[in-house]
Amino acid sequence: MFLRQQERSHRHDAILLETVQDDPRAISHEAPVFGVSRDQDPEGDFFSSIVDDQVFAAIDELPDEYRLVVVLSDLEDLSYGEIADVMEIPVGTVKSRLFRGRRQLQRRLYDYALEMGYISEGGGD
Amino acid sequence: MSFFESLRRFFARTGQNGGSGGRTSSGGAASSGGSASSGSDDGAPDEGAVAMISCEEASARLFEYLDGELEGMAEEEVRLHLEACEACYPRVQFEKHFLEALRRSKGGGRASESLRERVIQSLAEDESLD
Repeated sequence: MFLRQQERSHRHDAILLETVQDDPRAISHEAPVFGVSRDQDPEGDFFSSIVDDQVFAAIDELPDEYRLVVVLSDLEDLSYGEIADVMEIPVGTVKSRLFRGRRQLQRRLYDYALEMGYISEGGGD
Repeated sequence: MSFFESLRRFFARTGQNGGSGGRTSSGGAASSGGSASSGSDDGAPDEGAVAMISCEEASARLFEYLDGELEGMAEEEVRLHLEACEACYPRVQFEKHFLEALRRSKGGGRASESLRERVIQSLAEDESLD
């Protein structure tokens, strides 16, 4: 049990670490939540169980710079180029913010899914 | 204030244009099966043939692919990899389920509206600082 908790905390550290970096050239293409949940739910079916309000709450909690691009991309359907125009930032920055914002969102939604029991921690049988 | 209005018009316009400029969800991709090429395919491609990229490269461009942001050779490279690679299949499904959850929520009434309003406001504030 303790080991499980410790393992979980390591996983979360790794996830946090990934979201701290903010150099557009250093986007990590890892998907930490995918790595964590792959034993229990390799294809991310738990996302389908999450209610819209929780998705909004999670988006709302994102840092401003990530929330803006996520909303413009995923709620407003703007292309990367259009977001770059509106925000007056390079397309590369749009990409890196969008990727990082989505990674943070996945972590929040994963934690929520754990809390709600949509997914069980620990994997295996 | 005028920026606020122009942004609203901008959104309205992109909404109408739908297919052309905006988001087209590159869907399908990875069906399982076929021989997986999990990386390390560094051989020089034949002329005119699409190179088989590695899992890492496909993964690096996965969001761009799913967002419909890739075109031409780049799009084809990723698509071909994902169609053939069993190892990448769960990851693709994972990201697609995630994006579907986000996009599904956009029709979500007042909460969605208020979030969008705030984003527009925050953009307008940025603009007024210039």
